[in-house]
Amino acid sequence: MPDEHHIFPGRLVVVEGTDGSGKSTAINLLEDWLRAKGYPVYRTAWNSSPLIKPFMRHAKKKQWLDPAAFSLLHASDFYDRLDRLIVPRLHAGFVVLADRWVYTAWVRDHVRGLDLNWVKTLYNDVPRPDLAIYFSTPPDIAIARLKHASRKLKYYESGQDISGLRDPWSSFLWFQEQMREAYLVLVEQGHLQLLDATLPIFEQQKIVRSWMTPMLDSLALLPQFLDSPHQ
Amino acid sequence: MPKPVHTVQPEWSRVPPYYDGLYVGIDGLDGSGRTTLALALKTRLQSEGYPTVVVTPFPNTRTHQFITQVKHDRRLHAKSRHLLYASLFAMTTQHVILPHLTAGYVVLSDRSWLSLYARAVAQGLDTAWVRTTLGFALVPDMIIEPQSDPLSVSRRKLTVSDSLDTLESAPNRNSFEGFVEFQTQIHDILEGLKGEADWHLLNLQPDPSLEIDRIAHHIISQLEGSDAPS
Repeated sequence: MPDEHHIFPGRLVVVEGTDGSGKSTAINLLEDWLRAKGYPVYRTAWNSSPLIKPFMRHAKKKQWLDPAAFSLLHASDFYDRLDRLIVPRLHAGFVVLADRWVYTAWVRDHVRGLDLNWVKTLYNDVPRPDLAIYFSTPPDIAIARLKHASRKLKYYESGQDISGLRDPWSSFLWFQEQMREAYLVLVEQGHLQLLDATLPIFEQQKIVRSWMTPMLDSLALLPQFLDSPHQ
Repeated sequence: MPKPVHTVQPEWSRVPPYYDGLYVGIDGLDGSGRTTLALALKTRLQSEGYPTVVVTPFPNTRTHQFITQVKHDRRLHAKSRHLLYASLFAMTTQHVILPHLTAGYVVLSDRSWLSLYARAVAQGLDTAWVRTTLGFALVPDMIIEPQSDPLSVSRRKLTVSDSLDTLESAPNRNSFEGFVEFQTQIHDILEGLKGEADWHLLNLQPDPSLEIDRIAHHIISQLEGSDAPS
């Protein structure tokens, strides 16, 4: 990833964090807020390329993916979304809200034992976000949230491909602890801005919106919102 | 005789240090006779008592179907497409190539990392980046290339396919010239890689049997660790 921020007219805001950290809830609220203010918004999620995802799902189900194949297939998915879906919208002045960015790959693939520089090189020309937030949640709280939502853990999601643990929840806890350490290093290095995701949701929103507001100043509204008293 | 494992990225650590088999890359232009050569060599080596397997970069039928579908779709850009191919090759390496080498097989790789590299670079991707993406791949103990020229393989392609694949054509040319130009680029890129391996160019025309004998002899000498001339 280049050292400089991207030069597109649009804005790129990224949320990162472990599963169960509240990222999706936060991004839903941010999307509604931005739309109500009249900004063109586009959401994108990790591992969601319509071309790659069907095969990814199949390969995960069959447990075909060793760490290198896992990493490369996610990079393929990412670049498909970047080239076809994200960059055109950044050119067109959209606010792109990304539920995970390359940091997920850096952290997950490194925890899976791959060389971090190798992983970073895969994503060497990806735009640097205007704002990248790490939703910081202790793994036990994230697990409690997922259990409350009656979520079943999947093989790769729980890190069972590398932990060797048979119990998905034990594996998930171990995996998330490793990931959290790696995320906190990225916070220290200035790649991510830390948000305490144990705060009440409305408090989180106040903080994130205060971070985002200055970057929206010069951004063009959708035509129907120009001269609107609500802006 | 155990052989040390070498990967494209030398410091790649996720492979066993040694294997007992022999890893042979069969690279060259599409339509040059790679697959025919691989099957003939397999028959020959097996008949001599050496367990042999032919692998392609795609680990199984399901992935092959998926690739065909993606190629027809046309929406995937070059970078994403290359990463997809690299991922499939990583699966093949992990689940097919390495287990067979560890078990002492001769693995005839109908396209090694070199072919994936050449194709991606011919499509305009950065050479250093492409090489890094293939860092996991095993460096073949030897490469066999059926001798061919871009014009002949392009003509042959038209005898076996309805039309030429635009993904394998240089842009801004008529389709035949574009296809020949793309094959020429791949040919030139492979030429530039010849210093990296024990490389054997095979002239399979008009009678391939002598060349197949020669290369089979060389493979067997490598397997047994003898210094028999190739």
